[in-house]
Amino acid sequence: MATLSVIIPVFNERGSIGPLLVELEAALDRVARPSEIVVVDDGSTDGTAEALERHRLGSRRLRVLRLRRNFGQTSALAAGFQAARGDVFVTMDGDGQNDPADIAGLLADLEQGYDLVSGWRRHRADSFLYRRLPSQAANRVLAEITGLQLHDFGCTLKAYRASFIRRVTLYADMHRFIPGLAAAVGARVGEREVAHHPRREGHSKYGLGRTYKLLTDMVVLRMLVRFAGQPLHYFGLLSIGTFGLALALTFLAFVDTTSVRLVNYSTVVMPSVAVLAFCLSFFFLMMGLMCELALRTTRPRDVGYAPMARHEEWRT
Amino acid sequence: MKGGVDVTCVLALTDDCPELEDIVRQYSAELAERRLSFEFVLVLDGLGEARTARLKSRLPAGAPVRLLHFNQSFGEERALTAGYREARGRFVVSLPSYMQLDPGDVHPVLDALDQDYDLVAGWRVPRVDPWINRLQSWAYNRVMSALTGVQLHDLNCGLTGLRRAVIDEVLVEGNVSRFLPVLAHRRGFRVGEVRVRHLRERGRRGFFGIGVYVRRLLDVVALMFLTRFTTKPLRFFGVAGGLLVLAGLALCGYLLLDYAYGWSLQTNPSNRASLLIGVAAINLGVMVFSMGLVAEIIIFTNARNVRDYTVERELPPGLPPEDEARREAPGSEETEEVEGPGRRGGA
Repeated sequence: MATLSVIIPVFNERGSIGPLLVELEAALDRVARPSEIVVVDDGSTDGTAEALERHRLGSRRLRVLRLRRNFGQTSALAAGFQAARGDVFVTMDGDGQNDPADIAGLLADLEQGYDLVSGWRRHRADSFLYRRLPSQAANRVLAEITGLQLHDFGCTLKAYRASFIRRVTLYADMHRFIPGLAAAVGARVGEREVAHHPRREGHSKYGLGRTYKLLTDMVVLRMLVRFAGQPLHYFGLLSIGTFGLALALTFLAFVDTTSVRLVNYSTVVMPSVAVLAFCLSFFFLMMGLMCELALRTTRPRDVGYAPMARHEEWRT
Repeated sequence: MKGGVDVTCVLALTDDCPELEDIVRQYSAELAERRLSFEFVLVLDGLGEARTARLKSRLPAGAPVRLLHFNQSFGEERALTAGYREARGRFVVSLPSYMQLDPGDVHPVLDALDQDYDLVAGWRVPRVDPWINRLQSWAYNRVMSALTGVQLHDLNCGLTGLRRAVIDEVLVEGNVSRFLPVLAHRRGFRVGEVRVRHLRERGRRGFFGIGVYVRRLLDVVALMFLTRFTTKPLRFFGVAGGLLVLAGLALCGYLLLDYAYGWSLQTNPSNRASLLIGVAAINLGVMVFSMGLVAEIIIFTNARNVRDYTVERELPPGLPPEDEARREAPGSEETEEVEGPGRRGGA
């Protein structure tokens, strides 16, 4: 039977983490498999560490990892994945909004052959304007970019096959994109409805200020999902496109000089835009080559973009 | 650790160091007084055979000294970095290469390291330099404090004490050993400062020269980039490039509208410099943006090596695993390690 690691990143959740751990231990007692809980204390300053310590001393499952300062949720998750020892990982929020009772369902889905099962907070208990609306917009865009039909990319309650998540490179706010990156390497991604409770205590650590970060991150994700293994194709397409534009503009510039009305316009405007396009075209090509250079000098086992393959023993 | 000692003293030697013997003797005496085992790592920054021989002749007999030779000069900072890497001690102390400070001041540094600090920087106070040097140094440190958000008074002090973990987890190659306190602070290490007595200063008086400032400035730029955008280059390149493109588009758009509606006297875009500027801005913006994409790909492919967090401690469950659980999963919960090497003790 596969062993289970539940990974919980927490930051200043003194009031919520205690009740959550009690519920979680009860839920894990019901799940008939060996399990551990890895709580990653992401540099909390409000006494969360003491609350965790009280639980740890009375627990057979709870391991506590403390980071040196607050590094953010992605780093906390990465540290948790690194430290966890199970064959199957479940991640959940430390604020008690996820329900430990949902874990059994996620595990059942993993048994069906999924590599990643993402929770879907269908009935979210958050403010509509500040949390649900921006989240819905982000989910639409992410679904479009990654080609994954998920409703809720941001839900922390997810179940992973350990062998798979250890291959995904996780850094700098990428946790939201795990499903997308997973799909990019050909993992099987599923979704399951989960419960969502209002916050017990404390306040949310998210706000609208992260929008611009999300935007640049999405540009990166789109590029990585489709072209991480072949960057020359990405930049090459851009290069060919701009080169075509440049040729067309040059042609127009020559044609237009013979016409009467636009003679003055075309001698400067058309050529300068054409020069712009020519420059960019060559530039893109060089960029693509540079990426290939960076990529081809990396050992394959160090990169996260190699396609996943499922192994099957064939017996006749 | 094999051949491990308590303290490694690292010196970067860029010249003859006439006082080397005194330095080694006096600091040895101070460390021996604390009953610590120690070693010296001297990095010879491309000194050549004659000077190397002279240096060796000045070393006290029997002192625990290891020498690191650069075949050519790479500068004090790279030499110090190499010395840090070579260090075997639990604690590492960098020392100035001449009698700039009172050797007795190594004690407050080690005391601070004993009390839970991970990195301790010296702060030379009062300075014995001429006022013009003091002013420059003060301004430099103020600017750096403001830029990096780490309140330190004396980034250039030759005396710094640190734990091994700082070297293992923070040190990167390049001209940044001077900024180690800043990098360590960013990674969540506890950084402190102790006052040390400044005995004398060697080196030039007056202004340091334009070259020094330019190089310092470039180092600062590199540092800012290193600390803020290592893992997310597009957040830097993307915003810069995006703003450039927007500015260029706005300029060209204005020209187009002006051409269409005839707001100003000169409406023909061909005769206007703004067109070239606008086009150039778009061009540059797109280039900067795609530089960011390239940087992202490089980071992504190397992300396994970009671990941007540091673990302070790891604690196992308080109770032993149940017997049933142990029978079901042999070995799964038995290999608890309380603390890995180099990690600090628990609560």
